[in-house]
Amino acid sequence: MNLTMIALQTMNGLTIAAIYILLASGLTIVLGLQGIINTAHGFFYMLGAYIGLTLVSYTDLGFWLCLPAAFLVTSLLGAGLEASGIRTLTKWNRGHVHQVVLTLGFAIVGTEVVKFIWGTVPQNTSVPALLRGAISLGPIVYPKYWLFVIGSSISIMAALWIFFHWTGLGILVRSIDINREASEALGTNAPLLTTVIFGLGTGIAGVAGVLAGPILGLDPNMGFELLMVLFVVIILGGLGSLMGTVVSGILIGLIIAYGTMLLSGLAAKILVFGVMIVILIFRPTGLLGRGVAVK
Amino acid sequence: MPKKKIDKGVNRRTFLKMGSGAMVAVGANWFLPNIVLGSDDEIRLGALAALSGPVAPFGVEQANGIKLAVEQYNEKGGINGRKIKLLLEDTESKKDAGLANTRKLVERDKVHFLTGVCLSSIVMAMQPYIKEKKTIFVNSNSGNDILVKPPHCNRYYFKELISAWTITLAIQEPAKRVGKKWYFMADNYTHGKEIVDYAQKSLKAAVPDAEIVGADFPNLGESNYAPYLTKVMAAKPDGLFVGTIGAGYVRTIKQARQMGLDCHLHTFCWFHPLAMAIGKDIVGTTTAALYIPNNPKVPRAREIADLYKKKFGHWPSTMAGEGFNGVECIFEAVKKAGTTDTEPVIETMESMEYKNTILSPSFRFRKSDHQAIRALFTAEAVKDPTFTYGLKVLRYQPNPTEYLVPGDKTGCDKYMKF
Amino acid sequence: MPTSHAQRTRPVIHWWLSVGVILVVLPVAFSLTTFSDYLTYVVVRMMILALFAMSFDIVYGYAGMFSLGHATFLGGGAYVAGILMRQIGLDIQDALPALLAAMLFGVLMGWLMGFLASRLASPLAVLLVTFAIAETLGLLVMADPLNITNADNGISGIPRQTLGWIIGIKSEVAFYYVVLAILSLSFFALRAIVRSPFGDTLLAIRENRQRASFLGYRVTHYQMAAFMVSGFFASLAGALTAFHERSCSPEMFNFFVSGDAFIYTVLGGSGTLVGPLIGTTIIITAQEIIGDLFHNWLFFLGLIYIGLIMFMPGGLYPLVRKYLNPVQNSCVQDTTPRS
Repeated sequence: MNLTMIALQTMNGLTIAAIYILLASGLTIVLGLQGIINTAHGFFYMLGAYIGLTLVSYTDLGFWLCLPAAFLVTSLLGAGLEASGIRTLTKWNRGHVHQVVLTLGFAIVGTEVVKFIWGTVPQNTSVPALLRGAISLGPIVYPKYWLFVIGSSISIMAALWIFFHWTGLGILVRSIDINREASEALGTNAPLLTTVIFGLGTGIAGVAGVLAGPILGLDPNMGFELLMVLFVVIILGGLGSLMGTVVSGILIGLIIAYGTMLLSGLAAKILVFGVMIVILIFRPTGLLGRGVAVK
Repeated sequence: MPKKKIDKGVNRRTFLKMGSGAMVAVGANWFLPNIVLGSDDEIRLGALAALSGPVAPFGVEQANGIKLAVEQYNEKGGINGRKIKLLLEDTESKKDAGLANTRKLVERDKVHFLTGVCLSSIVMAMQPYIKEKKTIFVNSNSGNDILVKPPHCNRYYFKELISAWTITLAIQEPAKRVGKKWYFMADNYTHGKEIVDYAQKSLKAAVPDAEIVGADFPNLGESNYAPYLTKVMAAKPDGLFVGTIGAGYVRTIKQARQMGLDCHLHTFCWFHPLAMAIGKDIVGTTTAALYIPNNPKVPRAREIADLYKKKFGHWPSTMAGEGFNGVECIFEAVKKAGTTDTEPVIETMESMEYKNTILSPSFRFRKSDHQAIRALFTAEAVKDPTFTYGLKVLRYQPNPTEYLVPGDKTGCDKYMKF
Repeated sequence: MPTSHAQRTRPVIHWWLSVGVILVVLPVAFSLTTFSDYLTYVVVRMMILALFAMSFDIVYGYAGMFSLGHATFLGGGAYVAGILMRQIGLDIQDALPALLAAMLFGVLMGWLMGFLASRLASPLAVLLVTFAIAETLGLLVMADPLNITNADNGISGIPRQTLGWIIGIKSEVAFYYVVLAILSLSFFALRAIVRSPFGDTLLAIRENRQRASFLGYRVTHYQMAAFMVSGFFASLAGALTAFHERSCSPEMFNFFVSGDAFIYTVLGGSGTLVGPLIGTTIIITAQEIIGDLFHNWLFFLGLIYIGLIMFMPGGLYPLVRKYLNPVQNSCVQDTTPRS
């Protein structure tokens, strides 16, 4: 076990963490700030990847325009799901379990539609020409595109942090979380904002899908595979906490990378579940949670 | 609240009406096939394929191959004047659904023969059942060799896919070319472990001083192979044996090349749609080619590939070829035997030599365990003007039986009895 | 539930009788067709899954915890039976020890799940933890570290000869009556449990956990007990599945299996015990027909998920009961858990 190996394995952990963090951020703002649990999140990630694939293959928009296009489509669809289904459930005062079942049903139907349109065979998008090849970072050589994914994740997270802390809209959203009635009494259109934020979350999932496509490949089950890990990430990080999500995403990414290296892939997977159960029992607010337990 | 007698009566009556209506509908649906199927003029072929679920990419192709083969026979006027009726059912990539649908085909639809299926767990659940019901089952596409070993082998089960051990012989040719140090990687499940074991034996048989520098088994359906590939890079092998399947196969090769792993890649088996998904990184890898659409040894393969392309809009994959061949295995024997009765057909299949199949110039089932024996092609992936990515044959073994358990030592004799 | 038990039972007794008679003569009716074994096989599967769904109802409908890990019991029970009958070299031909072992496994696993679930603050956490347990068990069965589960191939060729060394269960029809007997016994046992003070306490905890604990009930103990009861019957269903299909495989731990239990229960009406029976019958029948026509069951399953939650969270049984018995149930509240 030499230094190069460890450095490389760390970078692997960070790359996968970058994708987890992007996906988990959408899930955590929706769950933490608005109390909506979205099990269709993985579906939006998958859909984003497929939209990216289609745009790259059938139009000459190229990779760079795929990102906003995927964001637009997945966020509109997400907003539609919120406005047509989840909002009604909230109005009827139904709990999380009903949201889980509704979004799961949506994801199952959506996945079947995706299979119908794009087929079940795994597909792949290629890395954009600008980012092909690898560059050397001290002792190791690492693919440019993978570094680009890490970079994108950092910038999107920074943008989200700025949005929630420094912009008026972001502060309004947080005000709804703190006290919905008071905020509404002051004239905030809470249902509309919920829809917007839900769309933002699913949109980020779509972008993550486009970004992950060239690394992880595309197949209709890719969303379901990741969903559980994402829940571990957001619970560990503390619901609604962007910083917490970053920290726990990196932690889980590294656990998987090192666990695979030192133990086995299976042990790494079981370890992740173990971490979740322990956290839920002993510290339901997560690592950096602000006292909001998993509700 | 006062009791509303009339309401109650009407309601219950409506309820009963609805109930009996539903019952009639259900009954009609279930009994209809039987009435329609009354005559014995046609030969009913039951096909099971994973049309949904995780192995659907393979199952759909397999079903396409089966459909094409049946269509071909029917266009030529059927078998001995009888048309073939294809009854296709979904296994949902699940054992319980696979078994239930097998029972439906055998008991309700009274099929003469069964074919298809790629997951060996489903096959294993089916084997005792088809033995009990004495229904011939030609299993295209299950690679697991356990299926033809005791206690699973039986008289009514035919394994159309070549032995997994034989498939791994394909590693010998690249091993002679690229070097002695090899690393092995396959999914963490029975078949994955089996093929790594066989591939290591095949490697040692061809290159006795070959060095196995490592073996790793990622979880089935893993999304990120980078941690495993880092281990491969640290071992610095000359060649990597890639035994991951489906999406994992695509990810392994893509991620290996992106990470700059530049050793030779030998893949267990070739699947055209996945090669297309991998793109140019597939060029230069070697593989066992079970079905080559433009196989120079079997000119007929190309005709069928063209028909397939015309019907389904894309080139046939290995699974489609195997599915097609499975149907031919049954009906060539039926033609020769002149009957659909089980015993004569089994005897014909055991003794006959299939010539000019789309997979291999010669093909037969071994009498002792019903394992298919056919040619093996070792091939290199190349750019191809027609297929985008095609195969160039490196080595042709017309009758590769040297590493199989000898026919008289399979231990299946007592399971093979009538 | 506000209506008293005696009042509720009497007027519907002839419905019970007719259902019983239909179930008893069903194999005879099937024997008139040319594929009676298959029909019997389907109905047996329906009954086993109904038992599984009823056990889920105890945890979801009565104790108010959403377990997305009930597949643990179905798969685990099946594997316990499979391993005992086939894998460890004991030459047992009788099904009884396997059923008992599976039920023991179910109680122990139910204790573990209940222990974890009762310490969690929220339904969401319960959902995630139970899911993780089922998934981990599925992974372990798949990886097969002890070399007893045959990994992905599963266990096949499980013998089905006798039950209790007396009753032959080899034929489909004999097995049908055995499963019918087990289902009926389980149903009446579960009904006795939920109508006992224990069941009332579970309902109280479901409605208001805090108030129940203020009243002096040890909430965690009750929740654990609910999981153990549920695990007992769910694992029994699992072992029966192993004998029914004569094999078991890792996809029995899939979360869709747990999801199915939820759908059967909610479609029929959760917290009613009869609901799961109705729900299972409808869904399995629909699955047979739709699967036959369209080859795409998952799409319809997704639609059922959405439709149920949006339009019929209370389920069918409360509606049926209203038709059968408009007076007494006019004041029955919506019994859906709002977790």
